[in-house]
Amino acid sequence: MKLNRSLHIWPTNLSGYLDGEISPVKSRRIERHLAKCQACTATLDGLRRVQVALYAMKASRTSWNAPLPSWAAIEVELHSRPMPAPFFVRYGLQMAGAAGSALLLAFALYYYLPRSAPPADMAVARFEPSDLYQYVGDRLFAPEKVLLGDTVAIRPELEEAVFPEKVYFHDRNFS
Amino acid sequence: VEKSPRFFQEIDPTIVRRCQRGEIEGFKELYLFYGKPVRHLGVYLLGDIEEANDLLHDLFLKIYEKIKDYRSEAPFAAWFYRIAVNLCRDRLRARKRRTKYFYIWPGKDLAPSNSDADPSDDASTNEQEEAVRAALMQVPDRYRVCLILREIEDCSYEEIGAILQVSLGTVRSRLSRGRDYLKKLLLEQRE
Repeated sequence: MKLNRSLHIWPTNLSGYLDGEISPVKSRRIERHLAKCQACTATLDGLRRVQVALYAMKASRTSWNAPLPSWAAIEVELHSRPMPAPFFVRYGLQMAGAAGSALLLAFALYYYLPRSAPPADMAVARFEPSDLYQYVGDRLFAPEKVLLGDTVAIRPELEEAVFPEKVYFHDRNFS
Repeated sequence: VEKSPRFFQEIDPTIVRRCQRGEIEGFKELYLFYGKPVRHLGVYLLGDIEEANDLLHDLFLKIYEKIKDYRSEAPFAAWFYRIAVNLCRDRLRARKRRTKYFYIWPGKDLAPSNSDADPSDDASTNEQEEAVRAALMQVPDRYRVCLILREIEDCSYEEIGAILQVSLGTVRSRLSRGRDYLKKLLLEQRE
């Protein structure tokens, strides 16, 4: 049966109520609900039965009184082993080596892997935040169009018109 | 029912420090202090007292290896039982790999004999207990650990959370699901 969360108490809360591990406010709310809801009362009774069954099993405590195995066997084994150093002492060098290698690899990838570049026929300029709202020919480029990336490409035919005013825009604007 | 003595009780920190210095006598004191509670937990988790005794042996070898990694800001009992629970889980995982279904409960020969009690009553009680134990062994490990710590070892939610390194919400939901699971299994047994 699917439980309607808006009408009944969630089983987790019922379980917490049974253990007395919920706040007094929540507890009182649950008690008020239980007084008028048979389904939740039945669920709580089921949980109580489980608790009673486990309690009965605990009562027998069959294993508690059984004697512990002899310490001597463990002692002999402990004496035969050298005590290991703490984790960071044992593996510190290896961990530092692994971290250094990873760092080196990251630098190598950053510097030597080819990056995405604009087409060869385009000049590349760096974006500067002050160069906003500028005309290229008769077109006005808004800041959001300029702010598409920190590297922008400019078609050679526009280059003369643009420089030295430094108008930058993304190459998508040309399409 | 008496509460399991010394379950989740903090041991004297000087004993822990002695263990960290590698004094075997310190480990012996640890064994005498935590041996019975941890074996008790092992019996309920593994369902076998012999295996729980083996667990105790393995646990102290593991503690010997790891004690220098223990930092005193966390409760020692939580750290200790966490290692015990993880070892139990390893054993259960290995058991699952070995065979799909395996259950041995040697409780009968260890059960205290009560000569005054009616033998028929005793038999029916034992049968009921066996049924509950068999059902408990079928509850998934993650819920069973929570149930045993709460219902058998009387741990609080905070203590369970500290042992299993999970939040209180997780403890609450695992207990609820575990109880629900066990309830269904017990109902199935009755039918």
